[in-house]
Amino acid sequence: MNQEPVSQEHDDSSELQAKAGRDVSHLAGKYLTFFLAGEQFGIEITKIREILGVLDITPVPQTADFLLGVINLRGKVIPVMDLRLRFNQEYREPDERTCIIVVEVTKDDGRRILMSMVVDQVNEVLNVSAADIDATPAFGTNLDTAFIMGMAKTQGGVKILLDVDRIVQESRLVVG
Amino acid sequence: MSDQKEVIGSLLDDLAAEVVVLEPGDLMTYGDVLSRLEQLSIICDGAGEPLLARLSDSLKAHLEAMILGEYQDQDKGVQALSEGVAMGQSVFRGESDATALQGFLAAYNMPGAEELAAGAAPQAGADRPAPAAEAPEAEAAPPPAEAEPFTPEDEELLSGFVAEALEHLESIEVNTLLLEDSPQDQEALNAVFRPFHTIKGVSGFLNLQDINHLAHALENLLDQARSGSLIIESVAIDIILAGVDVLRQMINESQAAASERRPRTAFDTASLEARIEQVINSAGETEAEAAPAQAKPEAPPLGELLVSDGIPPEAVEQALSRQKEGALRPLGELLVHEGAAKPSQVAGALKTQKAMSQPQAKSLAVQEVKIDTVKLDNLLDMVGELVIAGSMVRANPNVQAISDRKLVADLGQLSRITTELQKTTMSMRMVPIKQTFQKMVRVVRDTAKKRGRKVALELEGEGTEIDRNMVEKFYDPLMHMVRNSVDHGIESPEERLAAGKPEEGTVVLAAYHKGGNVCIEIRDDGNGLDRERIVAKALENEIITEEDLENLGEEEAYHLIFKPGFSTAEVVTEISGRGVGMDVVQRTIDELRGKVEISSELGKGTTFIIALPLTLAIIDGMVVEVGVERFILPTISVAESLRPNEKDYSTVQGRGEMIMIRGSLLPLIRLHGIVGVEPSQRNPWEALLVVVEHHGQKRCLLVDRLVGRQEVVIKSLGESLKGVKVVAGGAIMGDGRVGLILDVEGVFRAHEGRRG
Repeated sequence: MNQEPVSQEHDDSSELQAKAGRDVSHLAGKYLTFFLAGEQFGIEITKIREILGVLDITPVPQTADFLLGVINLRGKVIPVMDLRLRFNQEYREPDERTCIIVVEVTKDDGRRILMSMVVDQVNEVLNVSAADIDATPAFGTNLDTAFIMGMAKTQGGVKILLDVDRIVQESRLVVG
Repeated sequence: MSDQKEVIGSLLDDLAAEVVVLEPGDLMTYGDVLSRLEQLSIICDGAGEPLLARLSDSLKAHLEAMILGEYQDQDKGVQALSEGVAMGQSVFRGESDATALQGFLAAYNMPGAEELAAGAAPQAGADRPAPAAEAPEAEAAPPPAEAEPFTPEDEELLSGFVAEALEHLESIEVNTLLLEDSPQDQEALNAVFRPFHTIKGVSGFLNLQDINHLAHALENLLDQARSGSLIIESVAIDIILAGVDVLRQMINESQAAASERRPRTAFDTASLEARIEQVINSAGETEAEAAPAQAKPEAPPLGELLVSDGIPPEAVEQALSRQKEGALRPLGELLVHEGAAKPSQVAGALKTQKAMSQPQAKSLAVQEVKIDTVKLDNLLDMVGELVIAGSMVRANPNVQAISDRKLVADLGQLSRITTELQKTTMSMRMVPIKQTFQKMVRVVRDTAKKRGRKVALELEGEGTEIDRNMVEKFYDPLMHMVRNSVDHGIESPEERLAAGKPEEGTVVLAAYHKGGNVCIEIRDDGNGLDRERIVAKALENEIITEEDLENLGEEEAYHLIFKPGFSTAEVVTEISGRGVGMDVVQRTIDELRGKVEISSELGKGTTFIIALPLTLAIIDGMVVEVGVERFILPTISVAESLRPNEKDYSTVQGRGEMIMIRGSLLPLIRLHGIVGVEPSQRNPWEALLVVVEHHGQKRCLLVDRLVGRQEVVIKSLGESLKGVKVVAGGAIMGDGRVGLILDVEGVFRAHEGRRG
């Protein structure tokens, strides 16, 4: 008797996966969650190098609007993008809760890129199990679904799991 | 006794050579090795070398077992054999003792270990328990798979070999050329011989047969020279250099093949090997002159040795003074000629001399550590941060309010240490330019030979240090310019004689520090640059127009040779003048943020001076302020800064805003417009102008304020911001913020883009 609902649930999720046409089980793991423009997002903890408070940003000419500039991370110069602007949300002046998340992604050719992102507020580190993850819905959020790996249903609400690799690699920082 | 020793030594060397090329299962060669081992065993027995006799007996038994098929794993058997021979060599040189030998025998389960253990000192067991303990493990190891051409370990070994071998080839090249100048230089000869030997050994171990074979042949050639039966002269030098080239190709190919996981392309070395063979065979003819021709700086002079051997000192002195007077023959030969000494005495003395200077060669190695440049860069980053953190602590008002003399002194000490640390870290990136210069010797030699020139290359200031990354990038342009000097600068010997110059031309390569830059000078005493011909050619190739001619200064005209599509060589030669040429040189020098100065006198020669920054890591910058932002301009491209009068400002139809500076009209670039910052001044006569120059073009940059001159460490903005053309990089400023270093060319382009 006890086992039935479990298997039911399992069937449900695999059905969903089939509908979405992709498997999300590999997405299970630890995520850093944060707030951005009223929504909650998650980034795989393995991609995150560190979290900083707001620091002095030097603007760089000939770059996209969402690229705020570059910062000095202990002697290394790394770009900072504003995730609000990246997702076409309204700009918000930084306050004491504003954070810069430094991520490191590995490109297809094996080179590693450091990038940092300004978010409204960092929340917590969350363990997300495969059963809690749904594939990306094609609606319900006003951001580009290309950057979403899946949705995690948690007690604190739905968290959008971001595909950091794509955000870093597919954002055109340079204009002109 | 000493004769026997020599025979043993050469037997061991021969064995080593044979074992390296020994193919598992090749019974023919097994037989050869076996008979040699037999020989060795007999001689060692007679010569009172019990250890070597023991070893050769054991190896013999081992090999017999292999031949009879009692030993299953032939690969391993061969390996044991080659290790055994190596062990024999080291015992022979006195580097290994009975304990080591016993360990070896035990490790391979060869007979004789117990016997040695019994005879050896009691500490033997305690000292070297490892080999014995390893023995069962080694036995248990599975036989290596044969079908797998490259295992990961192999690849690691191979890449290690490639790096090492290429380095060896480089040093061979340098020393071979030294040898060309002084064929008697035993030190140089050894320095050529030894790396060949190493390459041969390792390539054999890695089963790179063709490399092994060629290296072996070259080693033989040099061995002949070492024994004095062959003098290395021009033909042999050519062959060695050709061999180096082929080896380099083969080694690179084996690397490429391994990384692409395909079989190696075999090289045909037959003709080269035939040439080597020929030279070796011709050795006998020169033997008579060669024998007494060895002089060692470290060993006592030959004369002294001969005197101690019973030759009357007067005879030696007389011969020496005759040598000083200009008799170009070696001392030994003179003495033999005079009848003062017997040839055997001279030969004996030479041998003693050789033996005495031999061990010294080993201590010459420079103590160096190879470090990954990434680690070095990280270190540099952290040290830079340390300096900034330190200055921030000192600048803190609370700290400054403390009037403790101890604290002030300690802070001063701290800052001295950090500054010193920074300097040391920076200097770790620097290497002497010597190696790059020495490679040019070969370039000059080859070019001169091909073009029928007689050229001597002189090197000055080889110890001058330059950024390691820079050396690599600088090699190609330097080579191009040196070739160019030999090919186009120096005239043919006939022309030179006709012009009343010495037959042999001179190219001088000099390096020195000047005003925070490294200057590399390439100076030749050739024909000089012909301004008329350059201008005519430039007109013909439409590099300049007739109108440009009026303003064309002397040096500007010379600079035309660096323009794309320019080539003054009437005949396109094999060496230079392949269409691509000096423009590539200019581009690389631009990339290195350097510049070229040319001076030339027709008929007398040409001097190129390439000024490069000391390091790519640091830029000497002019910090300017625009609005709230600071930018850094490379000082090398800043000509002057000034505040113009209002009347000097004008707008020219179709050319935008211009400023008249000392009679010439320069375009005005509003930097705030390019970098997108709100300026505090918009009128040029209230702001400041910085005149910047790039490739002879001058522009005025409008900025708010000049902050000052500062040396900054250049940081890349990273892969993702590579496309930003107006910025060359970032720099951490004194307050910890990032300042942007402007790319002058990018700024000019952006300005043109906005106007057009």
